[in-house]
Amino acid sequence: MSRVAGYLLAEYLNSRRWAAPFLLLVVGVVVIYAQPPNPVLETAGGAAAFLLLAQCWLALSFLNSQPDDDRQILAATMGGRRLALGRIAGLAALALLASLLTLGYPWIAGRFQRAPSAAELGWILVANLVCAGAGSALAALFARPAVRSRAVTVLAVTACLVVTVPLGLSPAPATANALDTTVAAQLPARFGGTIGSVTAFVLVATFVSALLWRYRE
Amino acid sequence: MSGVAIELRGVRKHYGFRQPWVLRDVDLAIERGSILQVAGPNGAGKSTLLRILAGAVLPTAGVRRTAEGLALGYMPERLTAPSFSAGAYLHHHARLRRLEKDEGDGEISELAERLDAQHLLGQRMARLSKGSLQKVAAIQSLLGRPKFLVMDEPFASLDAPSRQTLAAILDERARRGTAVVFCDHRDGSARVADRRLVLRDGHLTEPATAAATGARDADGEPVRFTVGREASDREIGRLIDDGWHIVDVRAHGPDGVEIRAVRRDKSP
Repeated sequence: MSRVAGYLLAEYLNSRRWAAPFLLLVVGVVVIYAQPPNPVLETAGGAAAFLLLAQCWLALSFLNSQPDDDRQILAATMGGRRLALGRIAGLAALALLASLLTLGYPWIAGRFQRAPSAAELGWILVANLVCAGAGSALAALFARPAVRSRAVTVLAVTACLVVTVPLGLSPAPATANALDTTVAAQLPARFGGTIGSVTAFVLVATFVSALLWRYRE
Repeated sequence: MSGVAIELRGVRKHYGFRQPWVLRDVDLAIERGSILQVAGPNGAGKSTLLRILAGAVLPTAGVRRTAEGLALGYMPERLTAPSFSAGAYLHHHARLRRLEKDEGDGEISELAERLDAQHLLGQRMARLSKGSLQKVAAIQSLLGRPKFLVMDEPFASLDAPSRQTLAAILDERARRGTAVVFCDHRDGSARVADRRLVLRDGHLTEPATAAATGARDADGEPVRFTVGREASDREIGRLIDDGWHIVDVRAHGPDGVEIRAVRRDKSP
Protein backbone atom coordinates (compact mmCIF):
# COMPACT_ATOMS: atom_id res chain seq x y z
CA MET A 1 0.00 0.00 0.00
CA SER A 2 2.76 2.47 0.95
CA ARG A 3 4.69 1.62 -2.24
CA VAL A 4 1.61 2.32 -4.36
CA ALA A 5 0.88 5.53 -2.45
CA GLY A 6 4.53 6.58 -2.85
CA TYR A 7 4.38 5.96 -6.58
CA LEU A 8 1.11 7.87 -6.95
CA LEU A 9 2.38 10.81 -4.89
CA ALA A 10 5.67 10.91 -6.84
CA GLU A 11 3.76 10.89 -10.13
CA TYR A 12 1.43 13.63 -8.83
CA LEU A 13 4.34 15.73 -7.61
CA ASN A 14 6.12 15.43 -10.98
CA SER A 15 2.93 16.21 -12.92
CA ARG A 16 2.66 19.63 -11.19
CA ARG A 17 -1.13 19.31 -11.28
CA TRP A 18 -1.05 20.17 -7.60
CA ALA A 19 0.09 23.71 -8.41
CA ALA A 20 -3.32 25.36 -8.98
CA PRO A 21 -5.21 23.88 -5.98
CA PHE A 22 -2.13 24.30 -3.79
CA LEU A 23 -1.86 27.98 -4.77
CA LEU A 24 -5.56 28.44 -4.03
CA LEU A 25 -4.99 26.97 -0.58
CA VAL A 26 -1.93 29.11 0.13
CA VAL A 27 -3.48 32.34 -1.16
CA GLY A 28 -6.73 31.65 0.66
CA VAL A 29 -5.04 31.01 4.01
CA VAL A 30 -2.80 34.06 3.61
CA VAL A 31 -5.84 36.27 2.81
CA ILE A 32 -7.87 34.88 5.74
CA TYR A 33 -5.07 35.73 8.16
CA ALA A 34 -4.23 39.07 6.46
CA GLN A 35 -6.58 41.16 8.60
CA PRO A 36 -5.82 41.32 12.32
CA PRO A 37 -6.76 40.75 15.06
CA ASN A 38 -7.30 37.07 14.06
CA PRO A 39 -8.77 35.54 17.24
CA VAL A 40 -7.21 32.09 17.50
CA LEU A 41 -10.13 29.65 17.26
CA GLU A 42 -12.52 31.87 15.33
CA THR A 43 -10.11 32.62 12.48
CA ALA A 44 -8.86 29.03 12.41
CA GLY A 45 -12.49 27.91 12.03
CA GLY A 46 -12.88 30.09 8.94
CA ALA A 47 -9.60 28.76 7.51
CA ALA A 48 -10.71 25.15 8.14
CA ALA A 49 -13.99 25.84 6.33
CA PHE A 50 -12.02 27.17 3.37
CA LEU A 51 -9.79 24.09 3.50
CA LEU A 52 -12.80 21.92 2.59
CA LEU A 53 -13.01 23.56 -0.84
CA ALA A 54 -9.25 23.68 -1.48
CA GLN A 55 -8.69 20.08 -0.36
CA CYS A 56 -11.57 18.90 -2.54
CA TRP A 57 -9.83 20.36 -5.60
CA LEU A 58 -6.43 19.07 -4.47
CA ALA A 59 -7.84 15.56 -3.98
CA LEU A 60 -9.59 15.58 -7.36
CA SER A 61 -6.41 16.66 -9.12
CA PHE A 62 -4.51 13.89 -7.31
CA LEU A 63 -7.01 11.16 -8.15
CA ASN A 64 -7.56 12.28 -11.74
CA SER A 65 -3.95 13.05 -12.66
CA GLN A 66 -3.01 9.40 -13.17
CA PRO A 67 -3.61 8.24 -16.76
CA ASP A 68 -6.15 5.41 -17.14
CA ASP A 69 -3.63 2.97 -18.64
CA ASP A 70 -1.12 3.62 -15.86
CA ARG A 71 -3.85 2.99 -13.29
CA GLN A 72 -4.74 -0.27 -15.04
CA ILE A 73 -1.09 -1.37 -14.99
CA LEU A 74 -1.08 -0.84 -11.22
CA ALA A 75 -4.40 -2.66 -10.83
CA ALA A 76 -3.01 -5.60 -12.81
CA THR A 77 0.39 -5.84 -11.18
CA MET A 78 -0.45 -4.80 -7.61
CA GLY A 79 -4.10 -5.83 -7.42
CA GLY A 80 -7.22 -3.68 -7.34
CA ARG A 81 -7.45 -3.69 -3.53
CA ARG A 82 -3.87 -2.48 -3.06
CA LEU A 83 -4.37 0.19 -5.69
CA ALA A 84 -7.51 1.46 -3.92
CA LEU A 85 -5.73 1.44 -0.55
CA GLY A 86 -2.75 3.22 -2.11
CA ARG A 87 -4.99 5.93 -3.54
CA ILE A 88 -6.72 6.35 -0.18
CA ALA A 89 -3.36 6.49 1.63
CA GLY A 90 -2.15 9.11 -0.86
CA LEU A 91 -5.30 11.14 -0.25
CA ALA A 92 -4.81 10.88 3.50
CA ALA A 93 -1.22 12.10 3.17
CA LEU A 94 -2.36 15.09 1.12
CA ALA A 95 -5.13 15.89 3.60
CA LEU A 96 -2.65 15.78 6.50
CA LEU A 97 -0.18 17.98 4.61
CA ALA A 98 -2.86 20.56 3.75
CA SER A 99 -4.13 20.52 7.36
CA LEU A 100 -0.64 21.07 8.76
CA LEU A 101 0.01 23.87 6.29
CA THR A 102 -3.27 25.61 7.18
CA LEU A 103 -2.32 25.39 10.85
CA GLY A 104 1.40 26.01 10.41
CA TYR A 105 1.32 29.24 8.44
CA PRO A 106 -0.47 31.47 11.00
CA TRP A 107 1.31 29.81 13.92
CA ILE A 108 4.83 30.09 12.53
CA ALA A 109 4.22 33.49 10.89
CA GLY A 110 2.74 34.82 14.14
CA ARG A 111 -0.59 35.79 12.53
CA PHE A 112 -2.73 34.79 15.53
CA GLN A 113 -3.92 37.48 17.93
CA ARG A 114 -2.01 35.68 20.70
CA ALA A 115 0.08 32.55 21.04
CA PRO A 116 -2.32 29.58 20.91
CA SER A 117 -2.28 26.99 23.67
CA ALA A 118 -1.43 23.36 22.97
CA ALA A 119 -5.11 22.44 23.35
CA GLU A 120 -6.11 25.12 20.86
CA LEU A 121 -3.48 23.94 18.38
CA GLY A 122 -4.76 20.41 18.76
CA TRP A 123 -8.37 21.45 18.13
CA ILE A 124 -7.39 23.53 15.11
CA LEU A 125 -5.57 20.53 13.64
CA VAL A 126 -8.65 18.37 14.29
CA ALA A 127 -10.88 20.98 12.62
CA ASN A 128 -8.55 21.13 9.62
CA LEU A 129 -8.48 17.33 9.37
CA VAL A 130 -12.28 17.14 9.59
CA CYS A 131 -12.71 19.58 6.70
CA ALA A 132 -9.84 18.14 4.65
CA GLY A 133 -11.20 14.63 5.21
CA ALA A 134 -14.68 15.67 4.09
CA GLY A 135 -13.26 17.39 0.99
CA SER A 136 -11.14 14.35 0.13
CA ALA A 137 -14.03 11.92 0.61
CA LEU A 138 -16.34 14.00 -1.56
CA ALA A 139 -13.69 14.14 -4.30
CA ALA A 140 -13.11 10.37 -4.07
CA LEU A 141 -16.79 9.70 -4.80
CA PHE A 142 -16.63 11.62 -8.07
CA ALA A 143 -13.07 10.84 -9.21
CA ARG A 144 -12.01 8.61 -12.10
CA PRO A 145 -12.84 5.84 -12.76
CA ALA A 146 -16.05 6.19 -10.72
CA VAL A 147 -17.00 9.20 -12.87
CA ARG A 148 -15.19 9.40 -16.21
CA SER A 149 -16.31 12.82 -17.40
CA ARG A 150 -14.42 15.75 -15.86
CA ALA A 151 -17.39 18.04 -16.57
CA VAL A 152 -19.74 15.75 -14.64
CA THR A 153 -17.22 15.55 -11.80
CA VAL A 154 -16.89 19.34 -11.52
CA LEU A 155 -20.65 19.87 -11.69
CA ALA A 156 -21.42 17.14 -9.16
CA VAL A 157 -18.78 18.24 -6.65
CA THR A 158 -19.77 21.90 -6.97
CA ALA A 159 -23.45 21.01 -6.53
CA CYS A 160 -22.63 18.99 -3.41
CA LEU A 161 -20.51 21.78 -1.94
CA VAL A 162 -23.19 24.41 -2.60
CA VAL A 163 -26.39 22.48 -1.86
CA THR A 164 -25.19 21.04 1.44
CA VAL A 165 -24.69 24.53 2.91
CA PRO A 166 -28.37 25.70 3.02
CA LEU A 167 -29.40 22.14 3.94
CA GLY A 168 -27.17 22.35 7.00
CA LEU A 169 -25.21 19.26 5.94
CA SER A 170 -21.90 20.93 5.10
CA PRO A 171 -19.12 20.52 7.67
CA ALA A 172 -17.60 23.86 6.60
CA PRO A 173 -20.08 26.23 8.32
CA ALA A 174 -20.53 23.72 11.15
CA THR A 175 -16.77 23.79 11.81
CA ALA A 176 -16.60 27.58 11.58
CA ASN A 177 -19.54 27.92 14.00
CA ALA A 178 -18.12 25.35 16.42
CA LEU A 179 -14.78 27.14 16.62
CA ASP A 180 -16.42 30.55 17.07
CA THR A 181 -15.53 30.59 20.74
CA THR A 182 -12.69 31.72 22.96
CA VAL A 183 -12.92 28.75 25.31
CA ALA A 184 -11.22 25.59 24.04
CA ALA A 185 -12.84 23.55 26.82
CA GLN A 186 -16.24 24.05 25.17
CA LEU A 187 -15.10 22.46 21.92
CA PRO A 188 -15.84 18.80 22.71
CA ALA A 189 -19.50 19.69 23.18
CA ARG A 190 -19.67 22.21 20.32
CA PHE A 191 -17.66 20.20 17.78
CA GLY A 192 -18.17 16.54 18.77
CA GLY A 193 -21.26 16.03 16.62
CA THR A 194 -19.56 17.39 13.50
CA ILE A 195 -16.49 15.23 14.09
CA GLY A 196 -18.65 12.13 14.45
CA SER A 197 -20.78 12.77 11.39
CA VAL A 198 -17.81 13.69 9.19
CA THR A 199 -15.92 10.60 10.37
CA ALA A 200 -18.91 8.44 9.43
CA PHE A 201 -19.19 10.17 6.05
CA VAL A 202 -15.47 9.73 5.35
CA LEU A 203 -15.59 6.03 6.21
CA VAL A 204 -18.69 5.34 4.11
CA ALA A 205 -17.53 7.50 1.18
CA THR A 206 -14.09 5.86 1.19
CA PHE A 207 -15.61 2.38 1.15
CA VAL A 208 -18.09 3.26 -1.59
CA SER A 209 -15.38 5.02 -3.63
CA ALA A 210 -13.07 2.01 -3.44
CA LEU A 211 -15.90 -0.22 -4.68
CA LEU A 212 -16.80 2.20 -7.45
CA TRP A 213 -13.16 2.52 -8.56
CA ARG A 214 -12.94 -1.24 -8.91
CA TYR A 215 -16.30 -1.91 -10.55
CA ARG A 216 -16.34 1.11 -12.85
CA GLU A 217 -12.83 0.50 -14.21
CA MET B 1 -5.46 -25.35 -12.05
CA SER B 2 -2.31 -27.56 -11.93
CA GLY B 3 -0.81 -26.57 -15.30
CA VAL B 4 -3.19 -23.70 -15.88
CA ALA B 5 -1.96 -20.21 -15.09
CA ILE B 6 -5.26 -18.46 -15.59
CA GLU B 7 -8.78 -19.45 -16.47
CA LEU B 8 -11.90 -17.57 -17.58
CA ARG B 9 -15.31 -19.21 -17.31
CA GLY B 10 -18.45 -17.71 -18.84
CA VAL B 11 -16.97 -14.23 -18.88
CA ARG B 12 -19.18 -11.46 -20.20
CA LYS B 13 -18.46 -7.77 -20.24
CA HIS B 14 -20.28 -4.57 -21.06
CA TYR B 15 -19.34 -1.04 -20.11
CA GLY B 16 -22.45 0.24 -18.37
CA PHE B 17 -26.14 -0.49 -18.63
CA ARG B 18 -27.71 -0.30 -22.10
CA GLN B 19 -24.27 -0.74 -23.63
CA PRO B 20 -23.67 -3.67 -25.99
CA TRP B 21 -21.86 -6.75 -24.77
CA VAL B 22 -18.17 -6.54 -25.64
CA LEU B 23 -17.50 -10.13 -24.55
CA ARG B 24 -20.04 -12.96 -24.44
CA ASP B 25 -19.54 -16.22 -22.56
CA VAL B 26 -15.80 -16.41 -23.01
CA ASP B 27 -14.20 -19.63 -21.74
CA LEU B 28 -10.44 -19.75 -21.81
CA ALA B 29 -7.68 -21.60 -20.00
CA ILE B 30 -4.06 -20.57 -20.46
CA GLU B 31 -1.35 -23.10 -19.67
CA ARG B 32 1.95 -22.24 -18.07
CA GLY B 33 4.69 -21.93 -20.67
CA SER B 34 2.27 -21.28 -23.53
CA ILE B 35 2.07 -18.28 -25.83
CA LEU B 36 -1.42 -17.38 -26.96
CA GLN B 37 -2.24 -14.84 -29.62
CA VAL B 38 -5.69 -13.31 -29.65
CA ALA B 39 -6.62 -12.00 -33.07
CA GLY B 40 -9.72 -10.29 -34.34
CA PRO B 41 -10.98 -7.22 -36.14
CA ASN B 42 -10.91 -3.73 -34.67
CA GLY B 43 -13.45 -3.31 -31.88
CA ALA B 44 -13.81 -7.06 -31.40
CA GLY B 45 -13.03 -6.74 -27.69
CA LYS B 46 -9.40 -7.90 -27.68
CA SER B 47 -8.18 -5.16 -25.34
CA THR B 48 -11.11 -5.73 -23.00
CA LEU B 49 -10.36 -9.46 -22.91
CA LEU B 50 -6.70 -8.75 -22.15
CA ARG B 51 -7.60 -6.26 -19.41
CA ILE B 52 -9.85 -8.86 -17.80
CA LEU B 53 -7.12 -11.49 -18.07
CA ALA B 54 -4.72 -9.02 -16.45
CA GLY B 55 -7.18 -8.27 -13.65
CA ALA B 56 -7.14 -4.58 -14.53
CA VAL B 57 -10.87 -4.71 -15.27
CA LEU B 58 -13.53 -6.88 -13.66
CA PRO B 59 -15.88 -8.93 -15.85
CA THR B 60 -19.59 -8.05 -15.69
CA ALA B 61 -20.36 -11.76 -15.29
CA GLY B 62 -18.35 -14.94 -15.14
CA VAL B 63 -15.28 -16.03 -13.25
CA ARG B 64 -11.56 -15.30 -13.55
CA ARG B 65 -9.33 -17.74 -11.69
CA THR B 66 -5.55 -17.50 -11.39
CA ALA B 67 -2.96 -19.89 -10.03
CA GLU B 68 -2.01 -19.00 -6.46
CA GLY B 69 0.67 -16.33 -6.12
CA LEU B 70 0.75 -15.65 -9.84
CA ALA B 71 2.90 -12.55 -10.48
CA LEU B 72 1.55 -10.66 -13.43
CA GLY B 73 2.94 -8.23 -16.00
CA TYR B 74 0.65 -6.08 -18.11
CA MET B 75 1.45 -3.92 -21.10
CA PRO B 76 -1.42 -1.71 -22.31
CA GLU B 77 -1.96 -0.91 -25.97
CA ARG B 78 -1.06 2.75 -25.45
CA LEU B 79 0.91 4.05 -22.53
CA THR B 80 0.03 7.65 -21.72
CA ALA B 81 3.34 9.07 -20.60
CA PRO B 82 3.44 9.48 -16.81
CA SER B 83 5.35 12.51 -15.50
CA PHE B 84 8.67 10.70 -15.09
CA SER B 85 11.79 10.05 -17.08
CA ALA B 86 11.70 6.56 -18.58
CA GLY B 87 14.42 5.44 -16.14
CA ALA B 88 12.61 6.81 -13.08
CA TYR B 89 9.35 5.24 -14.24
CA LEU B 90 10.97 1.83 -14.62
CA HIS B 91 12.74 2.12 -11.27
CA HIS B 92 9.42 2.97 -9.60
CA HIS B 93 7.89 -0.15 -11.15
CA ALA B 94 10.86 -2.25 -10.06
CA ARG B 95 10.25 -1.04 -6.49
CA LEU B 96 6.53 -1.76 -6.80
CA ARG B 97 7.45 -5.35 -7.69
CA ARG B 98 9.67 -5.56 -4.59
CA LEU B 99 12.90 -5.86 -6.56
CA GLU B 100 16.06 -4.93 -4.67
CA LYS B 101 17.79 -1.88 -6.14
CA ASP B 102 20.65 -3.86 -7.71
CA GLU B 103 18.25 -6.46 -9.02
CA GLY B 104 15.94 -3.81 -10.50
CA ASP B 105 18.86 -1.90 -12.04
CA GLY B 106 20.18 -5.12 -13.55
CA GLU B 107 16.86 -6.12 -15.10
CA ILE B 108 16.20 -2.65 -16.47
CA SER B 109 19.70 -2.43 -17.99
CA GLU B 110 19.48 -5.89 -19.51
CA LEU B 111 16.05 -5.36 -21.06
CA ALA B 112 16.87 -1.82 -22.21
CA GLU B 113 20.05 -3.07 -23.85
CA ARG B 114 18.28 -5.89 -25.65
CA LEU B 115 15.51 -3.61 -26.89
CA ASP B 116 17.98 -0.83 -27.78
CA ALA B 117 16.39 1.52 -25.26
CA GLN B 118 19.31 2.56 -23.04
CA HIS B 119 19.36 6.04 -24.55
CA LEU B 120 15.69 6.49 -23.61
CA LEU B 121 16.16 5.99 -19.87
CA GLY B 122 17.24 9.58 -19.17
CA GLN B 123 14.52 11.16 -21.28
CA ARG B 124 11.16 12.41 -20.05
CA MET B 125 8.43 10.02 -21.15
CA ALA B 126 6.27 12.86 -22.47
CA ARG B 127 8.94 13.48 -25.13
CA LEU B 128 9.28 9.89 -26.29
CA SER B 129 7.96 8.69 -29.65
CA LYS B 130 5.18 6.09 -29.82
CA GLY B 131 7.65 3.30 -30.54
CA SER B 132 9.96 4.37 -27.71
CA LEU B 133 7.04 4.49 -25.26
CA GLN B 134 6.13 1.01 -26.47
CA LYS B 135 9.62 -0.22 -25.56
CA VAL B 136 9.38 1.34 -22.09
CA ALA B 137 5.94 -0.22 -21.60
CA ALA B 138 7.30 -3.61 -22.68
CA ILE B 139 10.23 -3.37 -20.25
CA GLN B 140 7.83 -2.36 -17.47
CA SER B 141 5.68 -5.43 -18.07
CA LEU B 142 8.69 -7.77 -18.08
CA LEU B 143 10.18 -6.50 -14.80
CA GLY B 144 10.26 -8.95 -11.94
CA ARG B 145 9.98 -11.92 -14.33
CA PRO B 146 6.20 -12.30 -13.96
CA LYS B 147 4.69 -15.74 -14.45
CA PHE B 148 1.82 -14.38 -16.53
CA LEU B 149 2.35 -11.75 -19.20
CA VAL B 150 -0.51 -9.88 -20.85
CA MET B 151 0.54 -7.65 -23.72
CA ASP B 152 -1.83 -5.57 -25.83
CA GLU B 153 -0.43 -5.04 -29.35
CA PRO B 154 3.17 -5.33 -28.13
CA PHE B 155 4.69 -5.31 -31.62
CA ALA B 156 2.52 -2.55 -33.10
CA SER B 157 4.92 0.40 -33.10
CA LEU B 158 8.25 -1.37 -32.78
CA ASP B 159 10.92 -1.40 -35.46
CA ALA B 160 11.79 -4.77 -37.04
CA PRO B 161 14.85 -5.57 -34.85
CA SER B 162 12.95 -4.72 -31.67
CA ARG B 163 10.02 -6.88 -32.79
CA GLN B 164 12.37 -9.80 -33.25
CA THR B 165 14.05 -9.17 -29.90
CA LEU B 166 10.73 -8.91 -28.07
CA ALA B 167 9.52 -12.10 -29.74
CA ALA B 168 12.73 -13.83 -28.62
CA ILE B 169 12.25 -12.55 -25.05
CA LEU B 170 8.67 -13.85 -24.98
CA ASP B 171 9.84 -17.20 -26.28
CA GLU B 172 12.56 -17.39 -23.57
CA ARG B 173 10.06 -16.46 -20.86
CA ALA B 174 7.59 -19.08 -22.09
CA ARG B 175 10.32 -21.74 -22.02
CA ARG B 176 10.82 -20.88 -18.34
CA GLY B 177 7.14 -21.44 -17.63
CA THR B 178 5.66 -17.99 -18.14
CA ALA B 179 2.21 -17.94 -19.73
CA VAL B 180 2.04 -15.22 -22.36
CA VAL B 181 -1.07 -13.74 -23.97
CA PHE B 182 -0.87 -11.01 -26.56
CA CYS B 183 -3.02 -9.59 -29.29
CA ASP B 184 -1.73 -8.43 -32.61
CA HIS B 185 -3.09 -7.90 -36.11
CA ARG B 186 0.19 -8.76 -37.79
CA ASP B 187 0.22 -12.19 -39.47
CA GLY B 188 3.93 -12.65 -38.80
CA SER B 189 3.41 -12.50 -35.06
CA ALA B 190 1.52 -15.83 -35.25
CA ARG B 191 4.97 -17.43 -35.49
CA VAL B 192 5.66 -16.28 -31.92
CA ALA B 193 2.48 -17.89 -30.63
CA ASP B 194 1.90 -21.59 -30.19
CA ARG B 195 -1.85 -21.07 -30.09
CA ARG B 196 -4.07 -18.58 -31.81
CA LEU B 197 -7.68 -17.67 -31.06
CA VAL B 198 -9.97 -15.29 -32.86
CA LEU B 199 -12.29 -12.89 -31.07
CA ARG B 200 -15.28 -11.91 -33.16
CA ASP B 201 -18.50 -10.29 -31.99
CA GLY B 202 -17.50 -10.98 -28.41
CA HIS B 203 -17.04 -14.72 -28.95
CA LEU B 204 -13.67 -16.44 -28.74
CA THR B 205 -13.22 -19.15 -31.35
CA GLU B 206 -10.52 -21.29 -32.90
CA PRO B 207 -9.32 -19.80 -36.16
CA ALA B 208 -10.51 -21.60 -39.29
CA THR B 209 -7.08 -22.08 -40.75
CA ALA B 210 -5.46 -25.44 -41.42
CA ALA B 211 -2.08 -24.14 -40.38
CA ALA B 212 -3.25 -23.32 -36.89
CA THR B 213 -5.24 -26.45 -36.19
CA GLY B 214 -3.86 -29.12 -38.53
CA ALA B 215 -2.42 -31.18 -35.70
CA ARG B 216 -5.83 -31.88 -34.28
CA ASP B 217 -6.92 -34.32 -37.00
CA ALA B 218 -4.28 -36.91 -36.20
CA ASP B 219 -6.91 -39.56 -35.42
CA GLY B 220 -8.83 -38.89 -38.62
CA GLU B 221 -11.85 -37.51 -36.77
CA PRO B 222 -13.46 -34.42 -38.30
CA VAL B 223 -12.22 -31.13 -36.88
CA ARG B 224 -14.78 -28.47 -35.97
CA PHE B 225 -14.11 -24.89 -37.01
CA THR B 226 -16.40 -22.16 -35.73
CA VAL B 227 -16.39 -18.94 -37.72
CA GLY B 228 -18.58 -15.89 -38.13
CA ARG B 229 -21.40 -16.29 -40.66
CA GLU B 230 -20.13 -13.47 -42.85
CA ALA B 231 -16.69 -15.05 -43.14
CA SER B 232 -17.82 -18.65 -43.63
CA ASP B 233 -17.50 -18.75 -47.46
CA ARG B 234 -14.01 -17.35 -47.32
CA GLU B 235 -12.95 -19.77 -44.57
CA ILE B 236 -14.41 -22.78 -46.39
CA GLY B 237 -12.46 -21.76 -49.50
CA ARG B 238 -9.31 -21.40 -47.44
CA LEU B 239 -9.79 -24.82 -45.84
CA ILE B 240 -10.26 -26.49 -49.24
CA ASP B 241 -7.15 -24.71 -50.54
CA ASP B 242 -5.25 -25.95 -47.47
CA GLY B 243 -6.11 -29.59 -48.26
CA TRP B 244 -9.24 -30.13 -46.14
CA HIS B 245 -12.37 -32.01 -47.11
CA ILE B 246 -15.55 -30.32 -45.88
CA VAL B 247 -17.80 -32.88 -44.19
CA ASP B 248 -20.59 -30.67 -42.89
CA VAL B 249 -21.55 -27.01 -42.46
CA ARG B 250 -24.20 -25.98 -39.95
CA ALA B 251 -25.40 -22.92 -38.07
CA HIS B 252 -23.69 -22.20 -34.75
CA GLY B 253 -25.45 -19.69 -32.52
CA PRO B 254 -27.08 -16.58 -33.94
CA ASP B 255 -24.08 -15.34 -35.92
CA GLY B 256 -21.80 -18.32 -36.35
CA VAL B 257 -21.23 -21.27 -38.61
CA GLU B 258 -19.65 -24.59 -37.61
CA ILE B 259 -17.60 -26.31 -40.29
CA ARG B 260 -16.60 -29.97 -39.86
CA ALA B 261 -13.66 -31.02 -42.00
CA VAL B 262 -10.99 -33.69 -42.29
CA ARG B 263 -7.67 -33.73 -44.08
CA ARG B 264 -8.10 -34.97 -47.65
CA ASP B 265 -5.62 -37.84 -47.18
CA LYS B 266 -7.67 -39.07 -44.17
CA SER B 267 -11.15 -38.56 -45.58
CA PRO B 268 -13.08 -41.71 -46.45
